[in-house]
Amino acid sequence: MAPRRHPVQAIAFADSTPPKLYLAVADTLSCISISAGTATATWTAPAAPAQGKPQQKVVSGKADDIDTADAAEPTPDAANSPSAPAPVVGKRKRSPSNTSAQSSTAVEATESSPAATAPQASKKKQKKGGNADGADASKKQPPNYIGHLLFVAEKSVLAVTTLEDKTLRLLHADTLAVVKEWTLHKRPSAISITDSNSTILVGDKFGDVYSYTIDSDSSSEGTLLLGHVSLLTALTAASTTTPQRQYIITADRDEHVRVTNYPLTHAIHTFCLAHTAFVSRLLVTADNTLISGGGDDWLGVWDWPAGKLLQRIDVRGVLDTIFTDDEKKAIAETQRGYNRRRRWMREDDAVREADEEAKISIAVNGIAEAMVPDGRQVIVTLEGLPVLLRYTYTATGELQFASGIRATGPVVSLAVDASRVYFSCDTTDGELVSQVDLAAVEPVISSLVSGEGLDVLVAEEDVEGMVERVYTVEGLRKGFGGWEDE
Amino acid sequence: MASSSSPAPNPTKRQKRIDYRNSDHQDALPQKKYYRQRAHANPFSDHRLSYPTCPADMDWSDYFPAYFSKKRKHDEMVEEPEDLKDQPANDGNSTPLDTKKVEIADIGCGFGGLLISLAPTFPDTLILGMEIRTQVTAYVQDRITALRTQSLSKKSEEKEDVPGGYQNIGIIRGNAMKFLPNFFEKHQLSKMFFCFPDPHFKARKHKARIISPTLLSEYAYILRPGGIIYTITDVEDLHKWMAKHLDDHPMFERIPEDEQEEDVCVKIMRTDTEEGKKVARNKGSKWVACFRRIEEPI
Repeated sequence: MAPRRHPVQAIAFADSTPPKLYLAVADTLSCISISAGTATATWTAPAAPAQGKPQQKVVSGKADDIDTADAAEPTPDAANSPSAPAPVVGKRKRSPSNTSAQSSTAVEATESSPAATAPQASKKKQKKGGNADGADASKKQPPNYIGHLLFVAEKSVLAVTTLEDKTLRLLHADTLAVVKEWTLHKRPSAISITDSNSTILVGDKFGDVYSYTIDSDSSSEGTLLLGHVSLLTALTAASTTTPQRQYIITADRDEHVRVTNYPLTHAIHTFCLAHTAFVSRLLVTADNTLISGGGDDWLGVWDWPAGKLLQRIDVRGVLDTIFTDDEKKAIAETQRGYNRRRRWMREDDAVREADEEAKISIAVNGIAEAMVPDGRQVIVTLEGLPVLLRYTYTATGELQFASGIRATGPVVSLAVDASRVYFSCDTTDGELVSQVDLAAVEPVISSLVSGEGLDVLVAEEDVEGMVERVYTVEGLRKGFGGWEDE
Repeated sequence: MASSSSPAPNPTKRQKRIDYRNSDHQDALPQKKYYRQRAHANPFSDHRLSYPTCPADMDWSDYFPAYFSKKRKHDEMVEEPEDLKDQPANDGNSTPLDTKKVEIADIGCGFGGLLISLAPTFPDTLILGMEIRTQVTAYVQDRITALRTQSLSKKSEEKEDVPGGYQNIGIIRGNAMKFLPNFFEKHQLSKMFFCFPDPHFKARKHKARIISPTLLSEYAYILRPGGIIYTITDVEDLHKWMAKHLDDHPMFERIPEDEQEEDVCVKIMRTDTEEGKKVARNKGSKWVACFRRIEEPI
């Protein structure tokens, strides 16, 4: 069986000459030239500092060589064992099989017996290509996942957020060298840009939105703009022309979509309230309507300055026309494999009924707008579903379902350039990143990046950890009774 | 097979509480001992609360039956309010149904002391208490029902009665930190009360305080220009915190002390809440700060 591959969890398109695509795989970022299909630059997020009580630093000579790190185990281990990271143990999940904690993919599993006490540091699922600096070899850190990518053409930089070290960095568009970095207050959960693309907005898991000016000389802390009391899931800037005003639109896990004035962010303009489940994605279209999607069976189209719902775009009914019952059962089964930890907590109050076996959970993980010669189209992707849903505009300006473009695996991320859609799927042997040109009469998916030469293989014991980090949208759904926001 | 020879076992405390709550009390006031609950509840966790999707969807008739008719779905239009004027619940008032909106909110109303005192003071205004704890909410609901029943019987016996008959107060279980925009439209409220809120002393818990820079923007949204926020606490540190954040917020200005003392609401807030009475018993101090919501600067 082909080994599992790590899908590309974030894509950003750069409208430069030549056009480029940025791909984030776990903690590694690659810059791909679209015409050549090969990587021109890569960058790996530095490992996050160890959490919990400070550990003794271990200097391992060859940082990239995991073997050495393993071999170095016994020495620091002997020194560490009296001060074994017991306080940290409580915070970390215990991997079920402690003995295999040290093995990594390409390297044969070294004998863990000399390092038998180290695994008790309840190590987590280690990803390949992670921590290279060996700061604490006795306790492996989860990789410093890249969360969001945002290309800023005017400044020739790429904004990157990383989740473990809660940092926002600006990387040079070509060389991927770090130009600037800010430490964020909390783990970032959404990113956007405003002020003619000179101010970056970051939303975090506590619902606060901070702004960061790209050009400022001092490396200042971000400015707190506004806050929900809920995990901020989506964030976008918007404006009206009559009167000429700017706004920030934010969405959270508690079904709110809020429109706030900018820069006077203490003045809330209005709310767009109709969702009954978490909202995970927002898009302001070219004709200044807002499309919102999340855990509901429909997407909302809003006259957002008035807070008025214009249309509900059906999603669930559309899926019934695309997938057969068997396919739906298979998808539902795969989806149940995501968020295992939370589902376990839900077991007590859920008695699964027969018809739930085939019930796909709808969790919108992408809404994008494409321009084809005929007009605009809206592309919607759902977590765990191998399809791109295409919606076109009717003569009266309403959105209607046009077609579903089947993909080889669940679509994880996407980026749009005019009529071309670049997207990544979670497959074992398909392409890593595919493209489709919607302007074609019969759009056909072709490969852009095959994955060869890129470091994307995932060790078996790390698969569960990978799935947990990549498939997070359905986990926003409430109903766990007492599950607190992390 | 019950053993008939042995005497019935003593009902446990829990059983007593269940029995008490299930029985009909007519107009007897509820007893607090059957509603005890710990003081703290985490506002960030999911409480399986029920709240409307938006203010227009809220059925207020459960809370103010004298003022609202049962809500029908959007598709079925309600008859003209005039037709329903003769409904018995509308205790003789000439106010047509479904015309008023809640204008005063007591956030974290506890056992309802402020609500009960505000009711006759503003007999034509709808006042809503919001509380996150289930037992305490149930207590206040039972208390309001009992007071309404007493008031109606007094009316029928032509005895003197409290203006409004307690029909204008209600309580709902809710999380005010998250869901106020679900209940209230923009600029709906004229007064908001924050009486003896949880101080959350530790620095890492400060984000759970009910007055914070980000939450103040939400309160400014549901308060109308000219509306007033009333705060009172017996913890001086919390008082300074609240006053500072309200001062710093561009949409609020402090009401000077002389004007503050002339406000009847301040007097009621000082003396009529259960927490305030407890503070007085323990000879503690109370700090008051009131702020007016100013016009939009835009």
